[in-house]
This record gives sequence, structure tokens and C-alpha cells, in this order.
Amino acid sequence: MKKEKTMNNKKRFSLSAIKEKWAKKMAEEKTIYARRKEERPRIKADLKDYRRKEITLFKDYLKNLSSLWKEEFAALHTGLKENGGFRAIFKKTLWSKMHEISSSFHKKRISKSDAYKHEKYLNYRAKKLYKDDLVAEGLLGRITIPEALHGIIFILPWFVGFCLLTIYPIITTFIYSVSDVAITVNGVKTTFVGFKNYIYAFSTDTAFQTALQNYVIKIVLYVPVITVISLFLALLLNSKVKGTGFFRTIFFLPVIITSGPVIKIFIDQGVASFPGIDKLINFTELATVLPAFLVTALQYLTSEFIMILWFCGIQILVFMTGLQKIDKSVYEAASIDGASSWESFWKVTLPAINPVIVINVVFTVVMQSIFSLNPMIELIQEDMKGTGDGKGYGYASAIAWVYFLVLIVVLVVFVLLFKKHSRKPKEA
Amino acid sequence: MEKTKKNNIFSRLFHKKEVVGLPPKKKLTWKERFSKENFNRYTIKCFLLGTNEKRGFLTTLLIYAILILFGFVYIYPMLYMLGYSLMSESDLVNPAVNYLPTSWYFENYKESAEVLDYWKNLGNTVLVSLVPAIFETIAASLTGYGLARYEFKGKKIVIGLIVFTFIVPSCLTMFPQLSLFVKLHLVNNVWSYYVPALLGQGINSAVFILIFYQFFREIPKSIVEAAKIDGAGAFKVFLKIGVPTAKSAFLLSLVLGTVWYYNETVLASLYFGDAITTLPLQLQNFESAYNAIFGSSGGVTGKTANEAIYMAGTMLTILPLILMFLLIQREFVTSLDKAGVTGE
Repeated sequence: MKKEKTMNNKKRFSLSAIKEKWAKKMAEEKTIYARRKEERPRIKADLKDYRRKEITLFKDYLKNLSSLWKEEFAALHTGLKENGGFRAIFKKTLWSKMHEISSSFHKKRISKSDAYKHEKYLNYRAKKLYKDDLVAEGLLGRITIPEALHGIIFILPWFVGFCLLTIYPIITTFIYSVSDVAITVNGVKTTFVGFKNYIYAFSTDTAFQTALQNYVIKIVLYVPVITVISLFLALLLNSKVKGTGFFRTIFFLPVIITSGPVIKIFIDQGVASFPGIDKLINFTELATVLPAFLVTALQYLTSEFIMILWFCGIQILVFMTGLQKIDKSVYEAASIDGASSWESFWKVTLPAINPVIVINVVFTVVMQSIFSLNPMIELIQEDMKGTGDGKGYGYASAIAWVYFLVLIVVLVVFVLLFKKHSRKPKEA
Repeated sequence: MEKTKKNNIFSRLFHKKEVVGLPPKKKLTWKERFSKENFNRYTIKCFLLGTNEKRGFLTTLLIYAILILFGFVYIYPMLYMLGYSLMSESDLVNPAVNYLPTSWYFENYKESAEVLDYWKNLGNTVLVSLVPAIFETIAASLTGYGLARYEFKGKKIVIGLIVFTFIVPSCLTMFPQLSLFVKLHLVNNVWSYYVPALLGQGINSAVFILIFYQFFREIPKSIVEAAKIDGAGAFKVFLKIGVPTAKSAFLLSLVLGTVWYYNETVLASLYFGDAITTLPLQLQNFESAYNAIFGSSGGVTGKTANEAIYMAGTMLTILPLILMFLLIQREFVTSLDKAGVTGE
């Protein structure tokens, strides 16, 4: 007995026995692997089948969308709001169907890793389904769009408009300006004439020259006056007095009603300035002392004083928002250091609102240049209508180009002038 | 129990606020006020010229004086207009009557309403001011949102181009646009306003785009990401998060767009020709229109338009805008406050 036992033990722990055991195990595993190898194509086929099923399911779902909607409404009406609305029901139904499929897979005893793959795949599909909204789903089909393209799609209408209604017209205007333009039944015909129109404008057309001069004088005069007055009023309104809202409304009211014809009637009726202000200054006497352009500048100022004030509305409000954003602790620090309010205005307020000043200057220049009572715009409109030398669309577009260039020059000069005073390092 | 007590209307009315910090200043009686302690050279000086903490009475007075002066100058034309529009012819001739009419005379308004063809033209004006403003707002908000929310190549160039479109005067692009619109059969109807507005090229659209850009940039990214995880698409995020945060920008854009479209005459006369007449356009040729109705024709001597009728016409033209502004004035001004137009 003992011998047998020892033999058995020997057998058990002998190398050969272990080898045998391992061999058996290996064989078993091999058979498992072989079975899996056999199964693999079948699983793949199943997966494919599953995908097909899923896609058909989705298509069916889309087909039955309307009925689902009805169901959802019915559910809503019967007080099933607790389900969380259509979206939740949609999710639930789809998820339950998917779960059915996946559980059927699990019943088929696929290996764990494959089941995991299924689940992953399911998750992936579900995410893809819900990734885009129903609206986008309806609009764009089932194409998923990368993030950056979303932004481009958002600005696409603007870009189309920009190309069609800004860049194309600007170039076409330039082409018109260097050619004779004739309007025929078939459309616009242009023949190249070189820079004839430009030369004519600067050599012989006095109306254009005076209009341009007046425009420049007006802008150079108006912009600083408007900026200073609006800054002044904004400072007053910002100084914690009662009734600020009332005054603000009054100062903004003109913006609402400023249009070419209305202002023109005001100027014609002499309401654009206070009565009698012309009599205060004797312009004929002044003309003997001062240069001509200064006198015309003064005349502009006095004759349209209220109108200049009327153009301040938006600027005042922009300045006010700018002033409110300044940190009050800076003022406190300045006053502790012994700065008077006058000094703190120059050393704290002005540098802090410098970007706002630049914005306002640009805004004022552009709004003044767009305004329909502007001498240049009136001239361009007039010149469009006629034919011959110094008239017609070709000539008008040449003037418009000159006007645009002058406007840009004025703008750049103003921006540089007002930017100079900033002592603050540039904000990041 | 305490909560119910606090929510009681009466307790809320009579509930005194607890003041933390300095105790409230004792109210002085008149006797105390004029006693030697409180009424001497120094206190008077402090009252008039102010101390470090408090502004002086004189400066407050000065501020009010300047504000009232400027306020009067601002409304002066409107008051003048209102006064003159109610004057009869005898009032106008009478040198003793200035600014205020002797009696209410509404004939001017009747006549000028007839000349302006008021109700029809008002409808036209609304059609070419409010509707394009709505379109402009939609286009501007979409563009601003696209610029603020997403990163893509050439974004800065796009912003530069938007500023450029603001600078370009309309007279530079007017004629080619007109010929383009003629080709597309958009002239002489409202679509010549609607199409540029929808494509973000309406009147001063660039301003609105920049305002929207400013607003949408302040939306924290975590909120957007949370919405995305909840399954919201790009457009839904815009509708559910973007639009509510930029409410005041929408109001601003809508009102200013309406106003600017309303007051536009150059483009209107070019695009609409005789097909659509707006109120400002009719005001522009008020005299000829007046003569056509009331003027002398075929031996019958008629009237000529006097100052009062012009004023009444102007008043009628700007009346809808003023009414609109006064109705939404408070919301509008607060929205202007919120629109932080700084930087850039």
C-alpha cells in the first residue's frame, strides 16, 4: 500500500506527470482557441447583422417618427409628463430596443471581450445618435461636422454677403471709376478711359473740391467737439446725482430721430442753433482777421450747434459704460496719494478710457461720413444722375473712391492722434 | 415659524433693516442745527464746498445747472417744433406770439397727415424698418456667435473685415449693388432691404456683430460643455444658452436697427424708386406733395405750406420713433449699459 502511495506520489509530483497535466491543459486551451477561431467569423457576421438590424431600426424609427410624436403628445396629454418629455421617451425606447439586441447577444454566450466590444459599439452608436440635435439631424442628415466647421457655418451667411455686397461692389466701383459707363438694355457697358475722371475731379471740378474741403473741415471740427462734449456729459452723468436716468434719456432721444430730412427741416427753419447766436459774432469782420477756413469752421459750429450736440447720444452712453468699468480703488489710491479730482481725471480716468475714446472717435467719423446731409454724399448723389463730363456713374464712382480714401486717411490720423495719449501698457 | 413671519406682507413692510457698521447719524432738530456747534464758518464751508467724503452743495448745484442747460438745449428743437406745429396762420404772422400758440390748432396736423399719406406710408415704413432690423439682428447674432464660440483659422481676419465693412461708406457700394439687385429682380420691392440684412450687410450691421461678439464671448465654456454632454447640438446651444444671455444685445440691435433703417433716405430712394414711399422720403419732398394737394391749380388759388405745417409734418414723421423709444426706454438704456463696448 505504502509503495503504491509513494508511487502515486511519485507519479503526482514527477516531472512527467506535471508535463502530462500541462499537455492536457494546453490541449484543452487549444481546443478552446480553435473553437473561438471558428466562432470569430460567426461573431463578426453577427455583428454585421446587428449593425444592419440597428440601422434598419433607426430607419424604421425615422419612419415612425411622426407616430412617435403622436404618442408623445398623447403621453403628454394623459399626464405622463414625469417621463421627461419627448426626448427622454425617445432615449428610453431606443435604449430598450438596443438593450434587447445586446441581451440576445449575451445569451449566445460570446466571449467577454466580444461582449465588451458590443457594448462599446452600442455606446458609440448611441452617442453618435444623440450627438447632434434633432434640428441639425433634420438639416444636415447624419453627417457629423467637426467643431471648427460649425463656426464657419455660423458666419457663412455673413461671408457670402461680404463677398457679394461689399467686396464685389467695391471692385466694380473702381472699374467704373476708370471707365465710361453706359447703361443699356442688356446691362452696364464699360469702356476703359484711364484715370480721366480722377484728373477731371482734381483739375476742373470746383464743386467737388469745395465739397471735399467742407467735408474735411466739418470732420476735423466735429469729431473733437463731439468727443469732448460727450465725455464731459458722461462725466457729469456718472457723478452720482439724482435723475441721471432722465437726463440720459433726453441725451439719447435725438439719436432716435436724427435723419436727413428732419435735420434739414430744422436747419432750414433755423432751429439747428439758438436764435441770435449769429448776431453775436460778426463774421464779415472776422474774415478780415482770420484765415478763411477758420471762419467757415466757426460758422459751421455756430449755425449747427444743437445738431452737433444731437450727434453725441451714443457716444455719451459708450463713455458712461467705459467710466463705470474703471476700478474705484484706483481713484481712492490716487486721492490718498494727494491727487485732486482734476489730477485724477488726467492721470487715471483718461488713460483708462483711452480705448473707449478711440472707439468713439472711429464711430463718430464713420457716422458723420455716412450721414446723408454730408456735402460729399449729396454731391455723389447729384453726379450720379446726369451724363457728360463731371456727371454720370463713372465720375460718381471716381468721386466715391476718392472720398473713401480721404475717409480712411482721416480715420487713421484721428486714431493715431488719440492713441498717442495712452500711458497704459496694451491690454492683453 | 420665523419664515412665515418674515413673509407676511405687514412684517415685510415694517421690518427694519439691520444696519451693520456705523450707527445711523442722529437727526438734528432745528434748534440744534443752528446752534454754535453745528452752524459756524467751518460747517457752512463744508456744506458748500464739500469735504473729502461728501460733494459740496455748490458743485452739485453746478452739475445740475449744466445738466439742465444741456438738457434744454437738447430738447429745444423739439419743443420749438411742438409749439410751432400747433400755431394757426394768424399766430405765425403775429409778432407777439413766440414759441407758444394762443390756442390749440390741429389743422396743421390734419393737412400734413394728408400730405404725408400717413397711415399707408407708416405701414410701408414699418415694413422697411422693423422687418429688416429683425433680419439684421438674426444675421448679426449668428455671425457674432460663430466668431465668439468657435476657434478657426482666419478668425482675426474676419473681425478685421467686419470693421472694414463698417468703415466703407454706402456710396461706394451703392451702384454695383443696385445693378446686382436689378439683375436679381430685387429692386422696387422690400427684398432690396431684406437680402443685405439677412446676409449681415445691412445698415451698420458690423456694429451689431461686434456687440454680439462681445456678449457671446462672456459665456463660460463649462456651461456650453455641460449642455453638449446633455446632448444639445450646436444650434440648440445657441438658442438655449446664447440667446438668453444676450437678451439686451438683441434689444439693442433691434431698436437701433429699426431706427437706422427708419431714418435711411439715400438707399431707400435708390432702391425703392416710386414703388415704396417711407415717411422720411415723403418728408423730403413735402413741398411738392403739399402743392399737389393744396396748391393753386387751374386758376384756383391755393395755399402754400407754412412753417407750422412743416413742423407738424416733421412731428408726425418722428412720432412713431419717439413713442417706441419712450415705451421701451428703461429696458433699452439698461441694455445699453450692459453692452460693454470696450476693447477691440
